[in-house]
This record gives sequence, structure tokens and C-alpha cells, in this order.
Amino acid sequence: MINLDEVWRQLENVYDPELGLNVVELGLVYEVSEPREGELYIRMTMTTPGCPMHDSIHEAVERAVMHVFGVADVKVDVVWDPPWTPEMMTDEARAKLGF
Amino acid sequence: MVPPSTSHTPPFHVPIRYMLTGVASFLLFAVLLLVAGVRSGPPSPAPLWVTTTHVLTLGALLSFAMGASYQLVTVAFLTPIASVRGAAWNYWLYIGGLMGLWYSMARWWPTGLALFGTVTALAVIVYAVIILASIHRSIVRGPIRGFIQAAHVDLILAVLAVLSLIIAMRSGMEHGLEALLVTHIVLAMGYFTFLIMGFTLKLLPMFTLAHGHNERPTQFALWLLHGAVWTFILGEWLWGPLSWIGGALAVAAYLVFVRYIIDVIQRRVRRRIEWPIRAALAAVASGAIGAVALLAASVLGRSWLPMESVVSFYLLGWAAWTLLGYAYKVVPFLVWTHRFGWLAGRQKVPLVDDVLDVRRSRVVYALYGPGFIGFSISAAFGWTWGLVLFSGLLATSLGGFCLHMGRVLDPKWLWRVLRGGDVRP
Repeated sequence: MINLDEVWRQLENVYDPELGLNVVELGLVYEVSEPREGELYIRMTMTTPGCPMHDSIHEAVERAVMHVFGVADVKVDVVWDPPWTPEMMTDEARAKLGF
Repeated sequence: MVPPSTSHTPPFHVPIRYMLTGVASFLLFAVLLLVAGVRSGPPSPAPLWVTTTHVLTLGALLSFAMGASYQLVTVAFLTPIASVRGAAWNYWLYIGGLMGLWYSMARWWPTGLALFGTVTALAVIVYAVIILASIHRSIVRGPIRGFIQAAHVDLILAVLAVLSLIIAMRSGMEHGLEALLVTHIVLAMGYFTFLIMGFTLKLLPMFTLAHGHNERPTQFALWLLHGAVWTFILGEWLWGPLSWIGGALAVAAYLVFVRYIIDVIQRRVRRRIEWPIRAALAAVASGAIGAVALLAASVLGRSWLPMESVVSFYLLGWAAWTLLGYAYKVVPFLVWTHRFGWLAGRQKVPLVDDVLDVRRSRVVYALYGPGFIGFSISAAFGWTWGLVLFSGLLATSLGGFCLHMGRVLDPKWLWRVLRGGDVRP
């Protein structure tokens, strides 16, 4: 059984290196689940299709959660539906961007 | 929906080689500008000024633009470079031709001009064909495709125009030489304008995190620019007043483009606009002023407003300033991806801003802005003291830019990068 709270905490260590905000506060992570024992599924998006940080962030997410207790396999799906909008950010993230 | 990926990114050494050459050329341009300002007085077709101009256009601007294009085409069009090997090998053809061409210009060696001019022209055409072939495979549509395609078609035509000029000069032709030269210059300006406007459609919303803006009106800017380029050229060959229409169409294209820029800025999520982005925005304003100056020079006559000054203002204020702006964002990003991207998620890594604090760029822009404006005005009025003063300002600014880029690009990497080796620490 994977501790999904621990997965979310690990995801907070993955940053968009351009914006300086983590993927959780940016609202990029749509779903974290364990469909089968030991199999971690993450559904996420990027701020824009063709984001140059796509590969870096995708791989960083995989690496960040790989060593969480109970994780045997990780699948990260980058989806574009629904598309990311600024409203998905946390208030703190918006404040950091000067909103 | 198929998830777009950036796994098409070319090997690090492909774009960075060209960008490094661009940065080094900026440094050389700064030195030559200073020497030319002190020694030559007002710009004239003297070998030193011709060399200085081509160190800027063929070296700094084109080389950086080539490197950036190899990187950005994969991002903007979600497609790989049509021939990575071709792009890598073409660098050596390009650099060989460029060095020989600069030497031939400085010595005014006609045989060298013809030989190395042809080699450089070939390298530039190979680059343009690789980019066009890459875009051809892409499923991405929209205005950006039209802009980038138009840029590279114009570049090929600009090269063919200058090759025709060389052939015409060597065969002793007397008529049409000036028209060929103007055709070459207008097409080259078209290349930079289409390219900058095209990639701005991708870069500006990305760096300001803008959402919900409408880029469809830029389609009008695209067709207005096509009209501007070709009516201006036809005006030179057939009937002078056509160039008035060309100037007016260029102004209209900028107006549409500026409207788009305002829309993006109003819809940005990132409220604080970083200095490099401010520079890129200032460059758009300079480009618009340059287009007005082009119209004024066409209507009022070139004796009233020398075309050389308009071209110099356009190149320094629009093309070079845009490049100096986005370079502070693109180069640190590339270096970060290569040095730290593979460590992200495994350990704490610096942010892109830690690789280069972009606030440092404001000193460069504070010198560059007055520098290029003063330089262009001095060139227009033939003020020698102004040329010396503002060449110094520009050279200092560009020196600062090169220093910043040098800090990002650890010199120890340089040799390995140029050889195509892995520079990962």
C-alpha cells in the first residue's frame, strides 16, 4: 500500500525551474492513485503544450516518487484535457508570481 | 489528443555551437565597432564598415538565430530536426566560410569574397532547407508556421540575391547592382522580422505565462509583411513610389503585431515582467519605429534620411535587441537542462534563475538602448564624435552581455562542446 500523502509531499520537491514553483502549487498534478498494489499512477499536465521543460519535469516527477515506500512501478501520464489554466494554481503560487 | 513531447530536442552541442559563435561574434563586433567609430568617421562602404556590418549580421545575429532555431523549431513545431547530422556538420562549413569571408572583406580580396561568400551562402541555404524540411513534417498549424517558413524562404532568396550580385560584379555588369543590393538587404531584413515575430508567438506567452490571448490577428501581420517585402523590392526594380506602399505595409504589419503583444501582456499571469522580456518588448517598439523610418525614407527620399541609418537602426534596435533580450532566457535554460535537468527529482537542484540572475541584464540594456539610438542618429547626420561616443556605449554594453554569457557557459566546456562531446559534469 503506497502512502499517497507521502507521494504528494515528494511532488512538492519537483519545481518548474523557470518559474521557481513546484508542480503541486502550480496545479499541474491532476491525479495521484494506486490502481493496483505497488503501481503508482500520476496524471498531470504542463502549463502549455510544447513546454520546453516537458521532459525535465516529467522525468523529475518519476524520479521523485520512485523511492516512496511501497512503489514498485510508476506511470506518469501527461494529458492536455483539461488544459491547464492559471486558476489551477494555489493562492500562494499566484502571490509569488505577483498576482 | 496525442501528448506533445519535447523529446525531439536536438543534442546540446548543435544549438549551443551556433549560439557560442553568435556571442563571440558580438564581442568581435563590439571591438570592430569601436575601432571603426574611432578610425573611419561616418559609415561608408569602406572595408572596415562592410566587415563590421557582416560580423553583426552573418556572425552575431544569424549564427545566434540559427542555434536558437534548431532548438525552438523542435519546441514550437513538436518535431525533430530533419537532419541533426546535417545541422552539426553544416556548422563547420558555415564557420569556415564566415572566417574566410570576414578576412576577404577586411582585405577587400575579390577572389576570397567570391570563394568564401559562396561557401557561406551554401551553409546558410543548407540551414534554411533543414529548418523548412523540419517544419514540413510538423502537424502544427497556425500563424507561427507561416512566419517561420516565410523567414527561411526569404533567407534563401537573400542569399541568392547576394550571389547574383557577386556574379554581376565579377562579370562587369553596371546596371541593376544597387537594386540587387537593396533586394538582398530587404530580404535579409524580412528574414529577421518574420523569424522574430514568429518565435515571439511562442516565447512571449511562455515567459510571461499568458493564457487566453488571441494570435489569429497576427495572420494579417504575416501577409502585410509579405506585401511590404515584395512591394519594396518591386519599387526598387520597377517604379520607385511602390516602395512607399512597401513602407506603409510594414508599418501596418507592426501595428497588428503590437496589438497582439499588448493582448499577451494584458493576459499574463506572471505580473512582474523580467528585464530580458522588457528588452524584447522595447525591441518591438524599435522595430515599429524602424518601419516608420523606412516609410519616411521612401517618401521623403534617401538624401533626407539615408537608408544605411534606417537599416542600422532596424538591425541594432529590432534584431539585435530582441536577441539580446531572449538570449538571457534561452541560453541559461539550455545550460540548466543539460547540467541539472537529469538531477531534478533526485536531489535539490538550482533554478534557471540561479544559473544566471536575469536582473543583471538591465545594465546591458541601459547602455544598449541609448547606444544604438545615438549611433543611428550620429550615422544619419554624419557626427563623428557621436559615432565614437555611441560606438563606445554599444561596445561596453555588448562586452557586458558577452561576460554574462561567458559566466553561464563555463569556458572549460567550450572545447568539448565545439567538438560535439558530452559536457555533462
